[in-house]
Amino acid sequence: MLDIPRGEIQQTSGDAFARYASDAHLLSLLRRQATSLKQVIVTIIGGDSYSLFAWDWHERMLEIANETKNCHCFVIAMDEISVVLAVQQGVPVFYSTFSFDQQMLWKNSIEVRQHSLYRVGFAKFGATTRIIQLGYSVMLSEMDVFW
Amino acid sequence: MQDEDCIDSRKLSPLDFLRNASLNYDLQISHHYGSHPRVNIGLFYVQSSRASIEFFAHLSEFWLRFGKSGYLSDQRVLDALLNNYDRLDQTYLQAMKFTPQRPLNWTTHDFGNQFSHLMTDGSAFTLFDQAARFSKRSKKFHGVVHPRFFTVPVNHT
Repeated sequence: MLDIPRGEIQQTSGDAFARYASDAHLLSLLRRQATSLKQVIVTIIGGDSYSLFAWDWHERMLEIANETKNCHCFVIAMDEISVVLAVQQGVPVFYSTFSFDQQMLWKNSIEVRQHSLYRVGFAKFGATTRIIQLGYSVMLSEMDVFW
Repeated sequence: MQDEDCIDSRKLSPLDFLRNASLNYDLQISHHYGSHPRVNIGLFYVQSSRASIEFFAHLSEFWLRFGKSGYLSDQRVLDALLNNYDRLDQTYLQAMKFTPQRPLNWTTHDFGNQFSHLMTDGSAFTLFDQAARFSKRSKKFHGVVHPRFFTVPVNHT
């Protein structure tokens, strides 16, 4: 199921996750994917999203996009697994993660349920803030969540 | 002829459904017609402007400080901090005062309604079948073909 050839895997030197979470990568994604009006469409993957969600969503966006190559969208990943899945499936991805200093300030880091709720909000608001601060407009959609 | 084809086959991307750009809304959130906002939500469009940057910076700050300490729903936090919204919870506003320099021009919007759920119009079936064909998925949407049962298509002629 891996479409990525052997050579490319060895080429990713250093911390690939840090690269996918960097500002430079976000900016390059925005420059590549944005429309002429500097708009992008974004969704959040990770947590309990099924493994093909990134690909499904990307295919769906390509289907309804008016341009053949560019659907002006990328994916924001909440955890490392979803980063890997998105890269394997060929979907442009930005990794929304916490810096070490931020994590040092946490109380109740261990509780899984609280953390997964916190992660979603962090991806939604933090990544959106960074994108609009760079001057790009965002449409964010997420899967249905029942509370 | 090419123009006709374009009009007929032109599908509408989510960005075509935005509220009239001349009114220049900073934020458009999906409308949850009377139901709990967390049930059917999760779609918003932010225009990059000074007011929206200010609002979202405050929102991120709020979430960084208070999001971890309780079971806060991110959608409730967003709704609570919007100006002139039906106040869901005063405690969010008491926790961190927000005095924006510029008021946020926001609205609720339908987004063409079908984009609230990208998968509920049956497209999941075709997508999973495509995935099976491109071998991204091991079996089709309806499951593996059972060897003991078979379907005979009958032509009623």
